[in-house]
Amino acid sequence: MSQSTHEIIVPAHAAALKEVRNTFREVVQSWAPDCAEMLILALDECCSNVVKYRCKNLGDGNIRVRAEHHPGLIRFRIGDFCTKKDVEKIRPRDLDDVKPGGLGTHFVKEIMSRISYEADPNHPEAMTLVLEKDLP
Amino acid sequence: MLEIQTESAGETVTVAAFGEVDLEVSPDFWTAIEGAIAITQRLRIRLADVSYIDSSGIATLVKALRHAQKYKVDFALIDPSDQVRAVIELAQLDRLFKIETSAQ
Repeated sequence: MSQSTHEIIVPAHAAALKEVRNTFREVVQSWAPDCAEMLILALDECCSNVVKYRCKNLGDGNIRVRAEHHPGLIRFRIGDFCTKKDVEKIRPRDLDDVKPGGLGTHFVKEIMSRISYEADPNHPEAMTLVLEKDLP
Repeated sequence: MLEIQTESAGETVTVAAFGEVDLEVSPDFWTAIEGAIAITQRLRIRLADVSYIDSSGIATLVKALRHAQKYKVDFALIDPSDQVRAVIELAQLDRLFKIETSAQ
């Protein structure tokens, strides 16, 4: 079965988010034209969370982003950014409450089929966020 | 990159955004809107040329709406692009905003 993979590493800074979007927009468009823009939104929201909550927009770290296309599946892997304690704090918002907090998490949960986290046994505090989208 | 233009016509001030609204530029977008709210009682945000908006951009629009309501400014979005409209709908905020076409 065919598989395609693209990966970039960018500074963990808001200014790098556009580079992530531009890098993956065309390739995701070729994999899933019907939902490409929403998938890019989900990817961008996760990278934004890295910048905002993990790296505090200081630009002193990196984000590793990998996109994989498998038959019937697109997977994003967003590298080593979040402690388990941080992950447990992340909750989608209550949609009856229109305050903006948690909106990005809501988008990701609505767009993606599955969200999981992988720990690195060699780096106990590091985790990789894994987003998967089933394709028709 | 986001370009923002603010224009006045009669009693209406229109803030038009061109480009992508994301975490990096949302503070600039808010600054422009906040400044416009301070000088008018009728504000329109033109989004026809916004090719991408994320949750920070939507949050800015929600914040702007609340700010406008506080100061009794008539507030509406004009001609949102397909991507902007889709994200507003994903946020289930399409019933919150007044959305107009430029013909209105």
